Amino acid sequence: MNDTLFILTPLFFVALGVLGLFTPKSIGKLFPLIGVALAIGLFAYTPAYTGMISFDWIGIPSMELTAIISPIRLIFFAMLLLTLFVYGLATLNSKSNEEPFTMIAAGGMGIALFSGDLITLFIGWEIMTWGSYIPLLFRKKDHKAARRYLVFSLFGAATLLTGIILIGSHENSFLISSITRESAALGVPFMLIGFLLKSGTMPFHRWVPSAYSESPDLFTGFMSAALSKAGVFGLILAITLLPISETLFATIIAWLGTLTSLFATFRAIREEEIKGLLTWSSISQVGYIVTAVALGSSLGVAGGIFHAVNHTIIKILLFTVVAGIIARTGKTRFDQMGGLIYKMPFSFIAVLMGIIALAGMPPLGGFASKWLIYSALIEKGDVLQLVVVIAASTTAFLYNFKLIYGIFLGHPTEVDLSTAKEIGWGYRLALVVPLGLLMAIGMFPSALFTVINPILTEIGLEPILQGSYAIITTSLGSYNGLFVMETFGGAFAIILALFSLVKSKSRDLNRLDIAYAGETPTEKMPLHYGFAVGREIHRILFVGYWLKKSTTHFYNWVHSITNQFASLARLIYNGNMAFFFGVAFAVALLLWIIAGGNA
Amino acid sequence: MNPTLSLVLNLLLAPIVGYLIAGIYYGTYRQITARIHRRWGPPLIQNFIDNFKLFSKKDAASHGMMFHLGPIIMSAGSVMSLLFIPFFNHGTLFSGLSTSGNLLLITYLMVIGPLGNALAVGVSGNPFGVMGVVRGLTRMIGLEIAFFIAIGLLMVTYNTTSLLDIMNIQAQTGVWNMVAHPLLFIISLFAFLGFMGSSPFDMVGAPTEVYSGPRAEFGSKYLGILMTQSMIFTFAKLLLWVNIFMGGASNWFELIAKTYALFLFQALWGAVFPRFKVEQAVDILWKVPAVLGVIAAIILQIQKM
Amino acid sequence: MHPVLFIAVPLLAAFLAGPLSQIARKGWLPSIILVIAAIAAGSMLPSVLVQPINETVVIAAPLGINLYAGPAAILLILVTSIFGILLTGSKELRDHFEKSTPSTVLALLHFAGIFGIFLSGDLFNIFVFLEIAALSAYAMTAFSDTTASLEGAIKYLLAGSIASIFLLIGIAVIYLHTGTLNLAELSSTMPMVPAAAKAVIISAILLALAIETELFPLNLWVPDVYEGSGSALSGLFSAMTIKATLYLLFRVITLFGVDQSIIDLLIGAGLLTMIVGELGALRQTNAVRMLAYSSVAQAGLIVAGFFAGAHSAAIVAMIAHSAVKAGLFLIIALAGLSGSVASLTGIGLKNKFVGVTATVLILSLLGLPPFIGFAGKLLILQGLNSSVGIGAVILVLVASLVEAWYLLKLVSLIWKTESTVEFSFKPIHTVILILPLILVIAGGVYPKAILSLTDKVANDLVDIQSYRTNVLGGSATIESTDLNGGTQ
Repeated sequence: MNDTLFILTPLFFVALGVLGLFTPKSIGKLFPLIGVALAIGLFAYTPAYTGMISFDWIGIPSMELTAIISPIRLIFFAMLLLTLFVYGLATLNSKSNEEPFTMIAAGGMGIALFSGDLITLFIGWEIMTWGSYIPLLFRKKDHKAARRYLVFSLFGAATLLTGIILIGSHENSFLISSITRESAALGVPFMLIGFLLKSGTMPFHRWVPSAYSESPDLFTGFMSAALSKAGVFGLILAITLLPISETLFATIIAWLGTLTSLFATFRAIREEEIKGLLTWSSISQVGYIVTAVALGSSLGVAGGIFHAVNHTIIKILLFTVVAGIIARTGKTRFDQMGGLIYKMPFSFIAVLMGIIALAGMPPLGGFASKWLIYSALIEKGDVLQLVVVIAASTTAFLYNFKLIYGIFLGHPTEVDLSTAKEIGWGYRLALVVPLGLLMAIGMFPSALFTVINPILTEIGLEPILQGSYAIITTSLGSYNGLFVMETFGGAFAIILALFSLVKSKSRDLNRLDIAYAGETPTEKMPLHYGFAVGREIHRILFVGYWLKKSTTHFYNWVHSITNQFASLARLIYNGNMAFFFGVAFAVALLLWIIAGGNA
Repeated sequence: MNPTLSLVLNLLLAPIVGYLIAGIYYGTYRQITARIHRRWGPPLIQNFIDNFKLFSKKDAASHGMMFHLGPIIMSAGSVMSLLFIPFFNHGTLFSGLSTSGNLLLITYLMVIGPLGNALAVGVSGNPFGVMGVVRGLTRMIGLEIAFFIAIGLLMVTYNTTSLLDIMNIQAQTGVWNMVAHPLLFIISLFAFLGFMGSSPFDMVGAPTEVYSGPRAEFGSKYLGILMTQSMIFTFAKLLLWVNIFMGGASNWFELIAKTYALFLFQALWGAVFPRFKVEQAVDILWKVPAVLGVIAAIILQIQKM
Repeated sequence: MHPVLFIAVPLLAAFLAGPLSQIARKGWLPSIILVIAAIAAGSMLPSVLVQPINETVVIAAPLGINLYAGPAAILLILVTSIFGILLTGSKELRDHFEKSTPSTVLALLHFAGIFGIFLSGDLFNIFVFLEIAALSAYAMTAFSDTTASLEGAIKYLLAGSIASIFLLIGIAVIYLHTGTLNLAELSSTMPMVPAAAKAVIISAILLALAIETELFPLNLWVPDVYEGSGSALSGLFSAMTIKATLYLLFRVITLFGVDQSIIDLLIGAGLLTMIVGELGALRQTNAVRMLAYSSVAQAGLIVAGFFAGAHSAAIVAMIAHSAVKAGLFLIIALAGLSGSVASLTGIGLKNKFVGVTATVLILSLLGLPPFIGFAGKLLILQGLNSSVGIGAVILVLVASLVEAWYLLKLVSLIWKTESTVEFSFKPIHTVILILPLILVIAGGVYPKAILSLTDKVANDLVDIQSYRTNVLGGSATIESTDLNGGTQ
């Protein structure tokens, strides 16, 4: 089969990763790009949108490993490739060397994406998990973060495995294509927990903040943009196997997503670490995706996938810029930055585009996915959920502003403007493609439907047919992305031209020359308000109440209970041989009774 | 006339018409407030005089390129919002790009303005200005929720996101949404007051009370363009509300009458109310519309049955 | 190739250890014997898979002694020898062997006993070899001559004695009622034993075997013994001794044909062992003790898996367990004699190969693909699901999470940078770690190869009929005159 080579691409990724462990670091840095080139080359060599291979791995017929490609798997793999590409360019500049493990994790995710049966899915899932665990050991700031991440992920994997075994034993086969509804009803609820955990939906999101802050900066971007999509893929797989729309189950999951998006947004506003803010933003964005997909309708799934694509592009963009800035300045918090706009203009533009898309504002592409999700909610008729999602979206403006203000605007706090330079060339080169994509999606939003519609058909939903690439149409309305971009450009240009005709000359002021309560501030006065943006949000009663709650207490409780049980073990293993003798005789008696002794 | 040419003319003239009308409205607002305060008040065209004065100052204090471009972005946002809202509920005169957009697009276009403002204020580095911007963004959380409770229920009832559809339905049934769904109109008025910047939701600029505010660093031509775009934006908002809830306008007379009625409402209301703090505002804007929204939703359910 | 040589050669070497130490390099004798045993087993394996060898000594079964070299026995001898070499080749044990000839003798006797357990075809020999292995193990525990090791030795002695007593009681009652001690013969005569006597037999033998295979609650002695004996010896016990006792448990219980209630009890005991073992390991600060609990827990999982029906998977898990524990205990031994968890700090940075091996072995222990632990665990879980239910699966997975928590602590420590620990091992000592590494990776990527072997092994354990035929039916038996390996 000629598409075999392309289907095996994830295995090549893993092999590259293992190879990378033995090669010198400078060569290892090229591996992500080599992997992407390999994948694209193989696909161009034999382009195929369907296909299947199998491998008798364990000698048991029902447990053959199979891999298939189909539209939905291809689009998620494309998202993975895009992330690897941007990561690969940016990492040429970075000092960390986790690239082999990135390849292993990417390979694992690829295996899971291309899986045709549940065993392969699980194998890919686990390889992805431990592949992404190892880079967390590199930074050595918080030693427990890596362990917490892996154990959490293993919990998700355990629920996944439970579901898989239930389905496999009921069905006597693990092939995804042969799963019936009864088996799915048994196993899919368990699997869903694993998928929701991987995507970071509440209440399974506890691992995300510490894992993201502990991982190397560029790798965090990879985790956010690529690995979380594995959970989304699993979710879509789950609703395909077990159509749950219209059921209570679907409502619960949709609401989990909605609440995640709202509460994570509140938390993001409070963050004072730059990466922390992006982390919580990531959690909240995936909440949107989960909400949309759980609705189960054409619009919902289309909106979810569109938002997943947008989220991948935006997050890899933002995390890469932030990684570049942290690498350049050595500072990680908002209250250490500020005023970098004129020293790092390219980064500023990149972050600006990023937050416009993240906030879902036209004319960039972020609006299209948000609009689809809202349309899906309106179509379903659930106004309460719509309002909560809108609340999350509006509240997000605050942390978007904090992100750009805290780093670029305001006044420099601990950074030295005279020595500040633009971020490394690798980082800048990496950002070109995401920026271009954001603009392209903004102008031609319905172009993405050429891939989304086959997916909808594959899943068994109605495709949403589009007319032209620029106009995105649903049964509830439409808009023309190209017009929006053109009008904005036109309006901006005309107003700028007219404004320039005005005779007043602009006079640039000193940074400290601001209107400041009747006096001129000095260098030593703290003028960078940005890091405190959002501190007062807890004064809004509803928000303040929920910000005080946290799931940390629950997990701490689990931890302490387990430790207490462990301590109980010490009571039994007390080293007292007389006790052992007593136990032995008691057990002998018990065995005798069970074996039929007193009969 | 060639449709493309007429479209381009529409797009160019709409902001100018909006600016002129809003300018007159604001003139009357100053007169009305003055009369309430038992003074004469400035002439009706005072806003235009002020705007012109600001543009003719000799020089302008600036904080770099972003500070220069920020108000431009704001204006582009306001103009864009206007261009996607039709002036009339039929025909192509001043219908702008409304066929290429929808209600959700318009709502999001209305946010571009605050973004541009935030960027410009941010780069100026005035912490009081930033405080004002944050207040503005926080207030917006409340406003958007109230607004979306109203139009969300409306969109769900009519199963559409298109503004033109909502206007057509009002034309077909002959009943204004204001009358057909009075509760929704009342909910939307909460948001309307906030969007128009009148008490009790005017704590963002909070003139004469708080030093900080988004206008903190702007002067001369920058303040001028802010004023211009604010007037255009006001007209856009009035137009939006008329189109959603009052059946749109079929001729210039109806347009002026309906928009002025709304404007007068917020002017008079704002004149007598004190202002909330921003967290109180968000609280009120979340609670009251939510309760009213639940009642409205129940009524809609009953009506459907 | 005569199976009796597996027992004879180590015994001979033990008796000749004195004179041999002048010729052979000091301290290497046990390792050399294990290498010979491994090579012999490896060359025998292909033929034994087709047709097991039944060697009779003096008189043919069922009256006389026979040694049954089936696939199970030979494969396990191969595996335990290979991974035993890791430990006997470690500096810690070689130092003991060098210091005094008795230590070498004890180790060789222990090997003879273990191989005897694998090969014995009748209960009496099983008892004899078990005693030989156990007594030498008791003495080996005291190698380090510290208080802890002496205490461990005494505890081992006491626990093992209880086991021996009960085993003897069981054997006595069996002989009273059936007149024979040959396992194959017993498999047909046991059903005819009266119920009361049978209850006594089953309970006595089961108690003895449960103590030896370290099932809960009869494994209370294990942590102290392992901790006292030190890392290398614990590795030896973990990789070799417990495999023999597990083999014994499986062979005996299967041949005796017990009730389903006993089988269920064994599954339950295995599961309980696992969860209690993992919990016990959670708060340990001594790495040897921690791995002792882990060893116990894995043994429990293997027992539960075997009796739940996943026979082949249990054998795979046994092989994996040998490899992983041998490797891990060796690494701890390399790190130093204290055996505490903290002594491992930074070892990965000192020697990257050791760090990588440790990480891979731990990941396999957790059951992560693409390592061998995954294949075994997956099949065991399937078996548990079909015979017990999804509850057992969930229990095992919860235990795995607990296991992950403490094992990953080790991984974090291994790669920690701020380490003040001084390591004294040389890279040459770590080369042998390649063996478990290769097995773990190869067995994980393509388990079919291993499973085709273990399927036959499992079959050998489970198929009572062919066992009887092979032993009693008179096919391919070899006559020998005496126990010292001369042929007719």
